[in-house]
Amino acid sequence: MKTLILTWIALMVLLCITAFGSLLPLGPANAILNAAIAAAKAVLVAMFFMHLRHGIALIRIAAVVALVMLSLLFILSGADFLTRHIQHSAWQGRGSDLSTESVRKAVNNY
Amino acid sequence: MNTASGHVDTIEDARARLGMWVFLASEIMFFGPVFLAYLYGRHAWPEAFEAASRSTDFWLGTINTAVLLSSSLFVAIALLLAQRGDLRPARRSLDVVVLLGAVFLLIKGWEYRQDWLQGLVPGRAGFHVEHAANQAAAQLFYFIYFFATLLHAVHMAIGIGLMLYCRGKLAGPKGRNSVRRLEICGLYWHFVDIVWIFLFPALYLAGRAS
Repeated sequence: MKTLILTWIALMVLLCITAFGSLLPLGPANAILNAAIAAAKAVLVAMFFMHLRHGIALIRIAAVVALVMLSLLFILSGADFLTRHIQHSAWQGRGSDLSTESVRKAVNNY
Repeated sequence: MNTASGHVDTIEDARARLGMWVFLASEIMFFGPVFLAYLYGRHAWPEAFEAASRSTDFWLGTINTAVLLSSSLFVAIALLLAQRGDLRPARRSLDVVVLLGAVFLLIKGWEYRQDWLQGLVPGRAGFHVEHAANQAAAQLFYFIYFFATLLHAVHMAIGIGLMLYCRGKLAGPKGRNSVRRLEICGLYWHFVDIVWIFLFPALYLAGRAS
């Protein structure tokens, strides 16, 4: 019971840090801090509330394989998205300009 | 309980746990692409995504995160109590879980109402995010916002149903089955909580300070 309540307190402290930390202008560090705290919270929930800490190897493998597969999907499709230009159809205008105004202009010119 | 049936119980427990973890692994694949779409949009149109994120409700999002994290605590407490055989307090704890889950959905519903009134629903005439030069990209943010939070809300509703079911089973005759059910459904609840842990900074905190 004590462990569970301590975990909850840690989660609440992390929530306060991430929520109020995001109000401070730290530049790119804001996004990194938020992502790191989200990961820390997820680990706390998985370890202490979901008892992954005492889980047998088989269950840990199921959890880790899921994360590895997800990162593979992110890396492969991310590589695709980052290295290619979006090919717009004729009425959408040029480049990656997605503004409604440019779309409207392109439609009028078409 | 003799050792033979104790052994069978241990195997049954491990099976049920593994089954749920494999299901949750497939659920990650279900939610994952939503996060990929978000990361792509945030990378491609950072200003619009940050402006759109700033127009969400900071306080309601933060309160809802606290509500959800607390509900997870009560699920874990309920399981601990049920394992000890204190079934009545375990049911009380699940009452709190259901209540907190309902509060979460009510707050989210109120937020949707505000979004609707403030013209933040993508595809609707009059959509407008303040200080966003690129309104089309801001619409993409809100498309992801509604898709992700609605998908999450559906999972929450299912989770509340499961908690009520487990609560009912705990009221029945004592047995390993009802505790096992609670543990497995609890894993699902915690997973839905973890999804929100990542949705919260992505949708509510991005670009707050800029």
